Amino acid sequence: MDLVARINALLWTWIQSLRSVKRISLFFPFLLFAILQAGLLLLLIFFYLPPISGLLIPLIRQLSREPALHYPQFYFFLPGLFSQINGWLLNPLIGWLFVGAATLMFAGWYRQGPVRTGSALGGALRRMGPLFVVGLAEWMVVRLVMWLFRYLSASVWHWATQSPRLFLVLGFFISIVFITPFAYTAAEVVLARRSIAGALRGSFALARRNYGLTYLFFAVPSLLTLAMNLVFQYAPVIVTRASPGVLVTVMIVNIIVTVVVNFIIVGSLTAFYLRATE
Amino acid sequence: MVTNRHYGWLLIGLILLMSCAQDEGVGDRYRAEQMYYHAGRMYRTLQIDPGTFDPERSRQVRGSFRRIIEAYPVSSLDQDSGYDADVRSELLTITGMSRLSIADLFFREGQTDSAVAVYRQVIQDYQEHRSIGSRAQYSLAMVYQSADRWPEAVTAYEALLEKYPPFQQTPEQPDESILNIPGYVAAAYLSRGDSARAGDYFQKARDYLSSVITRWPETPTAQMAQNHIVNTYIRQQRWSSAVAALESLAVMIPAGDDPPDALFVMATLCSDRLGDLDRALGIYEDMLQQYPGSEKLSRAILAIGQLYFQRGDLDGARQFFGRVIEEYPRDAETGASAQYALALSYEFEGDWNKALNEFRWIVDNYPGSPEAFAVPNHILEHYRQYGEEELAQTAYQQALRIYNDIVAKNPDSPGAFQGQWYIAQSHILMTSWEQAAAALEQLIQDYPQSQQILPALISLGEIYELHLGKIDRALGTYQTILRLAPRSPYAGIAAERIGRLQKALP
Repeated sequence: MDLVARINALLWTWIQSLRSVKRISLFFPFLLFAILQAGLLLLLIFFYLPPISGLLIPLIRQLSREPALHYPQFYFFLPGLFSQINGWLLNPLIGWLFVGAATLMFAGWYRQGPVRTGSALGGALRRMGPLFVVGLAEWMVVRLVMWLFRYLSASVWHWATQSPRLFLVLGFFISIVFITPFAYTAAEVVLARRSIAGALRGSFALARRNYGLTYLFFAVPSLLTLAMNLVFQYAPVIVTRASPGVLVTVMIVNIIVTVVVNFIIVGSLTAFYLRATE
Repeated sequence: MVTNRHYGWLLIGLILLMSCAQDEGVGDRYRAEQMYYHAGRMYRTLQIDPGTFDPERSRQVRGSFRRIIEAYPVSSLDQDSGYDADVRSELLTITGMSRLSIADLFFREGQTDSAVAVYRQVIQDYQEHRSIGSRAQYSLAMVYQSADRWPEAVTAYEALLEKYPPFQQTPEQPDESILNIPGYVAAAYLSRGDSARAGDYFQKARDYLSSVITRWPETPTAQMAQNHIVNTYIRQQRWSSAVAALESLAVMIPAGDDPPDALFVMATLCSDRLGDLDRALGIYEDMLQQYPGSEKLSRAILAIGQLYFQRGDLDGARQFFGRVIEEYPRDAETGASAQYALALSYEFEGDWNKALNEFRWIVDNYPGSPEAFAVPNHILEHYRQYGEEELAQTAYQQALRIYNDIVAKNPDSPGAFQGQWYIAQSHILMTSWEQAAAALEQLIQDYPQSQQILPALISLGEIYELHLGKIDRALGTYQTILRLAPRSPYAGIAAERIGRLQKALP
């Protein structure tokens, strides 16, 4: 594709994705995942209550050290704790289910066929093995890259500690570089019903041919998430100047923003995948 | 094959496992901190504006703190409570601080007896928790003192010293507020007019502080204690003893590049209080020899110049003033003082033209200094003193223009207060009593928190009483002093004048 064609494809894909907003049921997989995330947030906020305190207090102590077990200092660490547990538990263990279901529902919508949450979830569950493995592979690659980025050299780390916000922004853009090849694995698994290896090959090939477009499908909507993460850098200021309640409200807003961002990304990727393969 | 039933058993097992895990009181501590945080926020809203204290709101805040105590009674925080030692200590701190806040609120509501009862209970319940116990004991003494129950306050202060010594194992970081208790009580006796008891207590304080020095020689605590000994002599106006104590203090301070402040205080007491100019001069000259290169020597050289001035050796004085200005150009504070003293030396000699030149030099080179503020008023004062009415009139107008300009440019600055003060002084020098009274009224209205407010009120009272014949206004002004600072020396002057004016009234 030449540049004009690529820009056309980009705009067409986003328009398809934004048009699908009027079909409310397409939000259901993301809303279900958001409910789980809200549940995680609630669990964290009430970590001190038995019986969950027995599990969460040692976990918080391990992740954020002793100061996080005090009020209101706990809220300084809450965004980071939520992000870690979400990133290490919810996303790799169950995020694949909702992405798979959403892909099936978007495909149904674009093909003007049925869009049912129940059958989409069932369809994703039936392909749970390959979905889980490709999702885990993507998760591991991104974690490894970020770990290398952080510990590459003492000078990088020194620079990162001088400017944590710049470090966050650069890490964001670098992580998308490595997420991009895995962009179409969910579609390959649930729509084309390929095996794990076939799905990875197909996704890598399609992403390689359309790397810039695919990168932008992720990066542009994710800027909203990046903005929220930058706000969370000021968690101590929000807690001390306003209140812990304000920070929790901002985190709930972040969960809602994530619903919107994921909706646009999965909708765009599915629309482009169908256009490229059909 | 894994079924839903297997997931169910896994979940039940997880819950049982979590229930068995102990959190060693971390959850309880978190809840207590949460309650304390919110109660504390409510408490701070009461403290922001003490002028509008709301008793009803205070009761609500007390209720918030009480809920913490009810949730975590002291009996549940003993050593067998099962809490981790650090958690237990933190819970004791939170509950102790909550109880102290309740007592404080009782006192602010006017319920002194309730406040006393709470403090006493805290002292009893928190015997092992030193920081809470000592705060309760200190607050109890302060409450007694504020309620004018002085004998009980003294007993409480003595108990503080006995039960909570200022340090336990190491003398490196003593609790200075406790170390100062004997001297504080003695000074309080003095301000209450009980010189005999004050004398006894000052000696008690010195005996106590000397024992501290004997026990912990060559430590920061010993220096602190010796400093307090000096203060006791100064408060009793026993200048020779104060000088001797300062000499001991100077020896205690480890040698460094700068002369210790104790030597400066010593020299000042010798010259100003004992009239021993030779000894003062000797101290400063020793400083010049022992600490060459120290930036603090500018003060010593200025002081030597002032001593020469006092002796009448004006040429010698001017040499030292000149040295300060030339050798310490970055020390604006001392430089301005030296320049002012230089100008005064010419004035004293009768060479007004040279003096005027030097005064103007201060305004140009040290703007913003206290000396620069004083110059226009001083020039006016000179012309008034020597009967040069036309020049006085010109200086008066110029002074008002300069001071009004300072006040207008930055009304919230400390300089504006100085400007307003000198406006009033300029009117006083020109016997413009109505304008002087108006200027002082403006000063008192605009800068009610200033430390100079009491002299301003005294001056205003005098103008109303002696120059304007407004006796009611004079009485009101003197009564304001009694209300603002009932234990200050100005209150004594005001009380005497109120008594005299009330007798003279028909």
